[in-house]
Amino acid sequence: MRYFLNRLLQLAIVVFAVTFLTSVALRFLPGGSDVVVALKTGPGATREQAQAVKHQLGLDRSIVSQYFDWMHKFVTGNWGFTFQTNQSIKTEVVRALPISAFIMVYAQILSLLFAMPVAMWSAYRQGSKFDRFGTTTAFGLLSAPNYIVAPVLMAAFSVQRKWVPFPSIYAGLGDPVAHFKAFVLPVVTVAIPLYAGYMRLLRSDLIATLQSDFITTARASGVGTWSILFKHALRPSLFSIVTAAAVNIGALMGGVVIVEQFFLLNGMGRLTVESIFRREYPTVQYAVVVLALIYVTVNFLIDLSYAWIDPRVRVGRALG
Amino acid sequence: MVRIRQRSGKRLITAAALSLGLIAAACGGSDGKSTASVPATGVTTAVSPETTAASTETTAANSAETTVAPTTTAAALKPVAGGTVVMGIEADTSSPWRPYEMLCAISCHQVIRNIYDTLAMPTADGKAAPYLAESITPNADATEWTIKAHAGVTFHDGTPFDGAAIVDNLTRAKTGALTGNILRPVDSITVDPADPMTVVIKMNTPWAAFPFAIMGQAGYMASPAWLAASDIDEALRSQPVGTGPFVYEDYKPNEYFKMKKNPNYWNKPYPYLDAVEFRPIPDALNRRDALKSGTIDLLHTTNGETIAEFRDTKEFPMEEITNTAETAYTLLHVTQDGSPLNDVRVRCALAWATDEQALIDTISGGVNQIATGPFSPDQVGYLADSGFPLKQDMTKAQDLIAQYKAEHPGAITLSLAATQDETNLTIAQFQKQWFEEAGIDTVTIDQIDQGNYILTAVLGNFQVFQWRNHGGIDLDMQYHWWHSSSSLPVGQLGLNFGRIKDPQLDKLLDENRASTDPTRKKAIAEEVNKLFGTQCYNIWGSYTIWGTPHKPDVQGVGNFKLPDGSEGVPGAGIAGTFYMMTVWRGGQ
Amino acid sequence: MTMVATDIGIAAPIAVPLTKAGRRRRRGRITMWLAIAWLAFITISAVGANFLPYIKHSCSQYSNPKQCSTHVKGDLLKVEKPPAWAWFANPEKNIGNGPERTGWFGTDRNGYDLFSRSMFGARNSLLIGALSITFGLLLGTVLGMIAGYYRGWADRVIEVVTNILLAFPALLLAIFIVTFSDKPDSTSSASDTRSIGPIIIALSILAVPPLTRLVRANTIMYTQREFVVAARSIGAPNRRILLREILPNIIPTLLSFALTGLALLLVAEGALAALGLSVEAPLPTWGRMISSGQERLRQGVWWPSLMPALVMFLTILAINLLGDVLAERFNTREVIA
Repeated sequence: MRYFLNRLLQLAIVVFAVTFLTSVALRFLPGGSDVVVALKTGPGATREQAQAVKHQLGLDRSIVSQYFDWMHKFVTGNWGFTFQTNQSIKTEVVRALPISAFIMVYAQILSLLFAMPVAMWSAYRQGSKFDRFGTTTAFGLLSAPNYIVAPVLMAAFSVQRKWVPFPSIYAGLGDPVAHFKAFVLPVVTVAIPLYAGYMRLLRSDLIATLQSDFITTARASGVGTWSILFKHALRPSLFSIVTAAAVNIGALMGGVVIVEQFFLLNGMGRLTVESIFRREYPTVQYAVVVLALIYVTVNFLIDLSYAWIDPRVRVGRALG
Repeated sequence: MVRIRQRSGKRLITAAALSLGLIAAACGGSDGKSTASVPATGVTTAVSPETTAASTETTAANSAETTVAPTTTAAALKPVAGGTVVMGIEADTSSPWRPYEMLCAISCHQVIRNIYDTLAMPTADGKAAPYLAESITPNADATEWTIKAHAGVTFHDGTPFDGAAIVDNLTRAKTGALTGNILRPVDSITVDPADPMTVVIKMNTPWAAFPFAIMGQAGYMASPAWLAASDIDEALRSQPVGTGPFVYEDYKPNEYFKMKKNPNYWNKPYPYLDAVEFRPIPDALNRRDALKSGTIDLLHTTNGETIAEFRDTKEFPMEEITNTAETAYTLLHVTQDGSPLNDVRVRCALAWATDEQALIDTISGGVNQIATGPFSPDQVGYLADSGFPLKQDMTKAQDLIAQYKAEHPGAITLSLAATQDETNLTIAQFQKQWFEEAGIDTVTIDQIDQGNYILTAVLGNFQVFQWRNHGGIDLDMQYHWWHSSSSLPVGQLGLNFGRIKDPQLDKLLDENRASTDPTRKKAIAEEVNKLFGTQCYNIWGSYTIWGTPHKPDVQGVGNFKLPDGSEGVPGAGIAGTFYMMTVWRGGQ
Repeated sequence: MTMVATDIGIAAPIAVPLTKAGRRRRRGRITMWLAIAWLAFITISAVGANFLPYIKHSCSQYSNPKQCSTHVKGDLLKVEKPPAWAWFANPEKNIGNGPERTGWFGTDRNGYDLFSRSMFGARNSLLIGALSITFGLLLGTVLGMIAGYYRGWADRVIEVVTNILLAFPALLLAIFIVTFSDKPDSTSSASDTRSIGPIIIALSILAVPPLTRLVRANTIMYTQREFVVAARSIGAPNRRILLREILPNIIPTLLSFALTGLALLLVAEGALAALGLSVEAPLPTWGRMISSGQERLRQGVWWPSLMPALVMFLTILAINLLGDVLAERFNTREVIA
């Protein structure tokens, strides 16, 4: 229980620090709040008009009081409207979250689905042609940045063959076909570097496991290849890949900006970055706090689950 | 080519443009990188000058619009009602959609003018005609104007359109930061006590060009009931209510703007389509690919290479909009303390050092025409030779810099501001080479994010800057960009970005504002053009071309008739826009 | 942008098992020497880029600015041309009177020679990568060792700090750091131009949290080992234990991580560039070249992005092959020790 409370306190500190730093950092972006005014009123505003806009948006108060004002709004759920578009910020964030979540979940599944068998076989036949090919392609995929992969995929599947509409038209789970078409290309683009990372990771873990004594013993007692790989070697090797996948949950929720921008999916990444460029301070802050909450919650759950699954949680925490 | 365009050039001219260019610049790009979007210089294009000329000729014969191929067929077909169109637009300028608060780029006007009608509209011969207004009449010296509202028109929410509605809208426009600048000469706006449908507007100075000011943003009429309601409820501000051919249905920033047919539209037979959807696709190549993949039916672009490409494909017919084109150019800050740009020799040296044709060829597929001044061929004041250096002459440039250096010893440094857009950067890198070769010791490129870019211009915090502006009909539309009254000190939001302070220019602008004599006005505009040519306040680039490639069964892009049956101007003269109400599907 | 966030996230656990990895089959010596040869070539060209027999369009801050005056008389290279060997590539438009194909890598829209830009880019990219990973390592090692060895409140504080950095969307962090160094206006020149400094800082900060975690985990592991327990029991000062006993054992892990990390940061820099957050034009980096060539790629002009991408790929591959070899060597040594 004490551990639990401790973690909770830590969580609160992290969220507070992240949001406060964001709030401060936003105000120090080049141009400061003048940019907000220029983007809101347009050029030609008189000084009085500019001042009035600043006042109306609360930008003339101290950063700290702006922060607590924002905090108050956040807690009460009355998030207000964007500066320039007069959209409800809550609606915007709620609209973006599922899109990011879909991309994240599908990309994780897809990359793991491919990474695991390739890694297992590579590790089992370490140094073989298959292994070398697998490792080299992994590096190739790592150095093929998504801003190159995305247009290539698009040209092939949307323009050459008109299989998938471009840009993606968001559709929920209610319409599975449209849903698939909306997400397939972005997900593949995101999954490619993920695959490379997971593959490398699982491969080296497996290699280590396969060299350990209990595998040697199992082999000596005549256990078959498949049985060794799946029953004995895989489970103990999953630890780091699970940790990595968990870390990536947070990162993928807000970090796929380039892909979202290219396919025009309004996920959290695009929302955050465009809001920064438009100096939509509150929107950025709400997006960041949501992302931070997701990160700390996931982290928290993982820590708890380690403690539950594995009594040697200390080692687990040390690694995680 | 130039001459051909001029002949046909009567067709159009535009209006209102005060707001436009600039804001275009402001907002166009804010969605990340958009090649075509605004501040880009010379992003437009054409295959070769000959092609342009040829196509212009076809068009001229035809209608007000420049159409590459299918105009003749289109004319023979009768429009049919029904169908929907999805259009890819350059940017989501996503303002609060209240006319006096909007920061409207081209793509924004393209969307919102389907919801709002304007009081006035330009005609094919470059005059202002009333549109939503029944009549717009001045008194003898143009200090008092009377606007009579069109009878029997209601807003989408049922509110009747009358004098009070005009007063409400114009009064709000007068208080808007941007629209207020357009309506600066307006003194008072009142409903005529004798007739609730008539509005009397008093000016503080003779303003003969007033109708041009209400063709665009300042002339958009929104429902007063909705305006009042949205004062209280912020969420309503993005759900516009006007009198236009289409009715607001749904809007999601960065995703779509959907509207459906207004069956009670007063200007029959428009509109034809049942529904229209606009999808902002900021990247020009993405827009191209979206059309190719079939996701959208129609798009607009200023990207030269895309235009060149669609000229060559039969699969997607394309209209080209060149009238009242904006000019892409490089702005210079000319009154900054201690800046070498205060000296006309340095400015002109930069102009001599620039090889604009090379830029057009390499960056925009050779599509665009070199700009000789701020006015494109169909604008009043256009000159084939304004005295501005059109051909690169490095020796001349080096001479001028050497002269300046002889008087002002020490190294000259310059900073070029550019957005992060690759095309802009390519241009900036060319300029850096040229300017350094001309003798400027160090030229640095300063990449600025989109949001900050506009601010940098408005505050005057720059030396050399890429921009696009100055579409429009009357020279008066440019008043605020150039007059010293808007040349505020650096650090204040001034519309005269380059902070030009030229008494001669002021005199010409003031005289033009009061003048009603067309020949005199033309002379003034030409003089202004020459003044810019010799003073090199800006380095002119090229005239913008808008291409509108679409699926073959999309018809009627650009063909527009005013209620009295006379030929209107596509897009009512805001460079690059057209009315969706004239568009229909079918009839291949 | 996934790259920044995701890959650095992955990287931390990657390195852990490597230490345990034990003896791996040795890779072919040929591959190793090829990797070394490639890296040597890249390093030499990067250092000696100023002396390349190509036009120095690509001047960076290290060369004499006067030499950078790049305008070529007669518009020879004023338009993009495919590489000389690319017999299959048609120059789309032939403006200027230069040859149809030119240079090893061709030229870009500014007429800049892409090979020399790739080499100047190597200098910037490798500097960015190497310096950020070095700074990240230094900070991460110090923090991680303190946290892992002393535990207690120091551990807590450091954990909170790393969590804050991880919870902060990586991209935002990068945007803030990079744009802070920008001037609010564009009237001053020369020295103000954004160069590699802020990018190094941004990337280092992104690299610190996973490194800290990694070092902490390893430190905890070694602190429980006999030799450390022994050293403690004879009353050796903490500093001595940390520096003499623990650090040498962590170094192999760190080194192999550093090499993977370097590769990841090279890619991450490209992601920053794609969002306009990397060095300012005309300074080249691989990432910037690749991302700015993306637009041309879509017009069928493949060389401006694919040629530097190839160089980057080969370099990353070489670094990692070498990293694997090094890891093996170090592992052996640890086992002996």
